[in-house]
Amino acid sequence: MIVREDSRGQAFTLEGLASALILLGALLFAVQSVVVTPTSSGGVDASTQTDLRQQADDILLTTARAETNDLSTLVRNWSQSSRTFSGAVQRNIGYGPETPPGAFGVMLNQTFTQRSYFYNIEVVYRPRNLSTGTRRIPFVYRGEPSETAVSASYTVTLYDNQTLTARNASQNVELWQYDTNATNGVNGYYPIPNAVNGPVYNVVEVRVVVW
Amino acid sequence: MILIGALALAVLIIGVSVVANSAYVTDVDTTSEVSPQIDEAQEFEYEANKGVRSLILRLNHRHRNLTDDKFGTIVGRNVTVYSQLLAESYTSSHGHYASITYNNGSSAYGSRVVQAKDFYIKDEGNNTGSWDIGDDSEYRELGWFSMNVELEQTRQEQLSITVSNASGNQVAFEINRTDTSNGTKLRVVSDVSHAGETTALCDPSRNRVLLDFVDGETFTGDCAFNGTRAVGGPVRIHVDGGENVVGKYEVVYNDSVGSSEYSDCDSSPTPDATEPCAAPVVWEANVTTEFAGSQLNYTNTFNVSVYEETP
Repeated sequence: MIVREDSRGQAFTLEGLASALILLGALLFAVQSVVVTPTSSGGVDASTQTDLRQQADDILLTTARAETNDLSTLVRNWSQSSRTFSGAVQRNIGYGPETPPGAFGVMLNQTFTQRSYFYNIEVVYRPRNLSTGTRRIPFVYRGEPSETAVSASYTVTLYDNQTLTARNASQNVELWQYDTNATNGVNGYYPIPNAVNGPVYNVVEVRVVVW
Repeated sequence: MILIGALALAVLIIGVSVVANSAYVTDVDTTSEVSPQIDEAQEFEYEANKGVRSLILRLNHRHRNLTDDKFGTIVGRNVTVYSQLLAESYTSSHGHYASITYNNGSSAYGSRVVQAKDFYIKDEGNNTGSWDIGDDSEYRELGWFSMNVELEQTRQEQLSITVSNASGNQVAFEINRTDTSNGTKLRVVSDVSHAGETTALCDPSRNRVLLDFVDGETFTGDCAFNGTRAVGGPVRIHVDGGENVVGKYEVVYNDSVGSSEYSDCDSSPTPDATEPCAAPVVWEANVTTEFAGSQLNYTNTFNVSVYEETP
């Protein structure tokens, strides 16, 4: 009688052990197969890329439609003395580590910098000879983007009779009057040229790359 | 029984995890393609609308001695060039094709009364300083009314401009030069029949003051007064004391405005630039936009209002 109960107890124990192992295995499989979304800089998964692209798009869209300091104003915020964007750090990195001016900079800072993401911004324009491709001016350069970086862009139209928007820029000099040759500063310098005849001056693209 | 229960539970856990992961991955994969294209299409529509309006507004105020047909050709050519620039930009940045076509035949024309060179604010031939810009029996939508005043030759006596609508509401502007301790300024008094009077002293820049009568401000934004927006609907404009102010001006109505006070700018002989004449403008442009992406293709035809109509 005692022997029979011992055998039954052992069978229950073995069954319980086997059941526990099976459940543990199933849980391990489920945990391992869950898609993990990293939140730190570096490699980002498809979902995070989609989010970052959408956020960059939203920032561009909001700025493009702003009453003040819109994208067109920022593209024309050019300093004659420093020959880069007004308030920028250096010509080759634009605002670099600094926050760009206006609400645009605040949004970029809150959306990306404070969440440990990096971004570059460049202004892509058409040269006078359209067959030579596009040229670019660094607006913000913070390093080489990672392989999983995403980009968003917004197209801005400039017109002949617009003026530069930097604080010390003359409001009596229209865009078409500036020289695009940096070495000849007689008429002032603005690198984006008058690409076509007529009231349209150029169509530029503000491109944000986030990683 | 315990083993069977454990097996069932394990199968359930594995099944749920597989289904959940599949659903999540599929969701991410499908939203990442179409959604950006919808955003880009919306951006393109917005920019096309805004760009065409800005471009045609500039063309409207650039040319003077053109016929409707010739002006329509110029507008079409400029929209095509703009469309090509936009298309290049969208192709290089997004990999999509986008274009804008101007449909001159479906667009609505208006009339711009313009005096292109400095002179008194008088009718054609400079016969009288008391006249109507347009027909005194016709009320038209007003899209633009600007005056670039040359202060040195402007007198201290007043130029009166009355903008009135069919309901009897009106805004009366009185403009004259005034010498103050802070220098010479342009005094603008604006009296709205149902809202009272405002007086502004506007500082000149290079001896000139550029007035926007529609919004009631100088174009530099540093001088404000009641504008014609205070008077709703179609209006007519009457001028008195045109011999007291020297400058150039432009008035845009939504339709051709018959008048014995001035000729068409393209008539022969061409009216002198110191005299008012009427030139065509595009009041409402009919355009077709086309967007072609990998997930989204459409064409859309719509009207672009070049001037904001008064409420």
